[in-house]
Amino acid sequence: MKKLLLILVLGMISLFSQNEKMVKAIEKNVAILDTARSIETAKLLINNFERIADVETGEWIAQYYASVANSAYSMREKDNVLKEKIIDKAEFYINRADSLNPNNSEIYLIKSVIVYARISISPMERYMTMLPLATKYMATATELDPENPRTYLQSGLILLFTPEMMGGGKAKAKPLLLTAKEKFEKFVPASSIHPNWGRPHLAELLEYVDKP
Amino acid sequence: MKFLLLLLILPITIFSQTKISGTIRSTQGELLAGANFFIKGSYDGASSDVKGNFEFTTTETGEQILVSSYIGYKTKETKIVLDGKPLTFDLKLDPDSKILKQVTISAGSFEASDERKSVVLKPLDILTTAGATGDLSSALNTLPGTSQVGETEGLFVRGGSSAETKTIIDEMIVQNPYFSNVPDVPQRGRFSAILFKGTIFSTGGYSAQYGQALSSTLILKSIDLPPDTRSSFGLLAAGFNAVHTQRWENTAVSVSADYFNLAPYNNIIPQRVEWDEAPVGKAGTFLFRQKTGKSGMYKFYGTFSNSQLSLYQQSLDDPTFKPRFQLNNTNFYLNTSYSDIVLNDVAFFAGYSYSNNNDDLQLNTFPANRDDQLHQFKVKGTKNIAENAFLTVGAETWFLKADDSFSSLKANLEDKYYAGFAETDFFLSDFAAFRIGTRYEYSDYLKKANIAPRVSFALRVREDDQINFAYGQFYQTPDRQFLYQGKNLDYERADHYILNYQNIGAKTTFRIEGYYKDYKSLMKRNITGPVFGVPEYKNNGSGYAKGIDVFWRDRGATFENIDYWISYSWLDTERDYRDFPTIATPTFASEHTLTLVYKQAFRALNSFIGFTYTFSSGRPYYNPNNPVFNGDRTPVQHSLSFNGSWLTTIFGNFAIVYVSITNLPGYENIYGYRFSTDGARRQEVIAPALRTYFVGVFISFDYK
Repeated sequence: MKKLLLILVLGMISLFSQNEKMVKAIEKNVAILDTARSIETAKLLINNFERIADVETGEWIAQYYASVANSAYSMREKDNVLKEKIIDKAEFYINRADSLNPNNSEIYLIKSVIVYARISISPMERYMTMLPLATKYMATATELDPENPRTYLQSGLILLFTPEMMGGGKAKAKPLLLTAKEKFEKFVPASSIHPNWGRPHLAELLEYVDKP
Repeated sequence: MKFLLLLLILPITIFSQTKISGTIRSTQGELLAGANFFIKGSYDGASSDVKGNFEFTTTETGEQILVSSYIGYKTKETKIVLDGKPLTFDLKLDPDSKILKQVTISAGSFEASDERKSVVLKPLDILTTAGATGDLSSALNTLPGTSQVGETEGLFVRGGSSAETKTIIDEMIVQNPYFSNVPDVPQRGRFSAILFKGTIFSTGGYSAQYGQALSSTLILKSIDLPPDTRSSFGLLAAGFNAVHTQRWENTAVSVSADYFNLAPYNNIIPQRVEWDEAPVGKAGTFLFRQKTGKSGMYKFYGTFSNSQLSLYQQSLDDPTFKPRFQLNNTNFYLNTSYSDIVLNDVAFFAGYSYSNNNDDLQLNTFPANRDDQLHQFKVKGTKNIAENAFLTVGAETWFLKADDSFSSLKANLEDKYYAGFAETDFFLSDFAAFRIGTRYEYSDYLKKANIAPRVSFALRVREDDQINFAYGQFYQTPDRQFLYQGKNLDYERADHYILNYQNIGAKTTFRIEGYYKDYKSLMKRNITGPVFGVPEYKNNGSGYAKGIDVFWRDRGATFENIDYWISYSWLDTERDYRDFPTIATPTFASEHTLTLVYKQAFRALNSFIGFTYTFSSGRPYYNPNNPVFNGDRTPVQHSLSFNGSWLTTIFGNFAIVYVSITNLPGYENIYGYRFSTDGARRQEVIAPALRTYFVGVFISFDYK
């Protein structure tokens, strides 16, 4: 009886320590994610999140962050061939996340970001064929969770850098960014490791829109 | 009991820690910052700093694998034993040759692909080049090495006729890539540029994996899996097209239907061809893709088309006589293939293609029919045989059956063709690449074999500069009209020597290439026997083609949204073949060809415009009044084409409006002359219409 209890207790310790291990590891890296500025930090985050994702292949959140780290860095890579490879990695991880947790707003948002990143590699050629897919994913993300502040943040960001003649610019982007701010104020993540990034970036953008 | 409990819990609380540290460099000595090091299957790991140093402690024990990875380099796995003693490593990573391979074999070829770094064109360039209206070969005609031959379809490469270029889709031959020839009315290619993810247009010196083309190959790779489920509908000036694509995770099916009827269009736009029944046609395609496992892909592509037209030609011998030409064409093409990585590192490919083309003709009162069927089987494997070397080995076989009839005369032939090839690619670090290959061919009809060596070499002399060289022998079975008539025939042959220099920068490309083609064993009509003699075809024709091609492209380097390229070719070619009475320049070759392509994107308006200007010096034509055979030259030819596209939304769905006009200024280009038998009268060979207009709206619907 005591032996059985022992085995049970030992078993439960290992179960909890595994998930707790992942949660702790992700928490540590998520803390740096929002304010990561340098290329070194960006690469560090990619490596850290990928290591977690490659072990925790059944956890969608681990796959999600590995994708976010790669997507975020991809916009900084100047070499188009490497950039494409980094985006391929981002896509690989987000597809895993999607198959583990389908119809998730945060995942669709990243899918959209990835398509926009691909367009940026060769805009003149890819613009016309890939834009429909990028906007489709963004619309799906907003529809799946209208309270997700990050979809308004990303839509606002894209509109901000779209030329005015095509319906973009600061004036048009501002309402979306303000909606994002409003949603952020109400937003409470489902856990300490559920997606909660974007506030510092939004603050910077709001400052930028108000400048003449 | 309590002691036992403590003992059991102890292993959980006391961790054995091993410290792992080291430096990471590339095999060229470069320090790598931000590389990832970790124990396989564990979180434990670290990233290297700016000095390439890394350090971490791990609680794993025993036999483990240390993984080192960095984007652009081959991931390395090192076996280690963790027992508490600190470990240091001095690691080196090799560049991933698929990504960073700086040297690529390119003598005599232009590659259009989204995947590779050193490419000259992107697939979408083909769709957006003015004058091309989405037709692949029209866009390729703006590259150096091609002659502008306005009156007929096909690619005329470096002094070679259109029959000397073969079109290949996914490694398999396409027997009839163009709609059937109609006298003086150039036909479009059958395949839309949207279907392809990559194109390699070789103007000479192509790989031993392909054969039966004296001049060049157009190698097309179709898209793998279309990105999503969508439908699109296109309304064109002369017809419509509908496509539906269904995408599942690893499977895709696409079905399309096309219909065209040029009658209304021909009534509005003045035609210089006297149409009886304007071209009408329908086509359908079916595409299937299945991803199998991690690296396997099964592809199926099938297309069917039927078209008919009839027109009146003017006889020069008798002005009252207008013979009627009628053509009813049915074409069926099927291409299926399977590729995968087997035995760990062998890339395996197997494919089958079937082409069936039937032309039912009515030449005034005489019926005629041309029918051909081709079955092709091909297998090949590529293996990484050494650090920087690949070996490709393969074989293919073709079964060709052709039936021709004219009035009551009939002729037919069957040929079984077998070929085997072996080719090795090896790289010397990142500054030199070699490709050496051999191809063996045997034709059962000719009862002859040939062995063709091919060699290419590329040398990177500076960061973006490369010198390339290629030599090869190329054989082609004579055209079937000669196979019917001749006995003891042999392959026609061309030996290519190519040398080029190229500079491919981030946004600019410069290329200059010189070539010499030595044609041997061409079909030639000999008159044998006494008095009138009997014409007999033998392989005693010959010829040469030499020239220089220059290409310059600026893709947004000078002006942000402007992409332009200039290509110039100088060609000197003569042949003594077929019915030529003496050595002379063939009618499809012009000495100077200059093309300027200009494209500009207007992001604010979501639109794109393009212009293409081409100039070519006069081409030879046969004038019975001139004692010098092919001694006359047509006037110079120029053309300026425009195209524009605009991306918009119609009822919330994405739509593209596309407009194209060829020969905007209305130059009256004369491609040649036809003479009456007595040489007294002549008629200009000109385009069927002065300008060609194309307008289309394509709407695409996606599904949520």
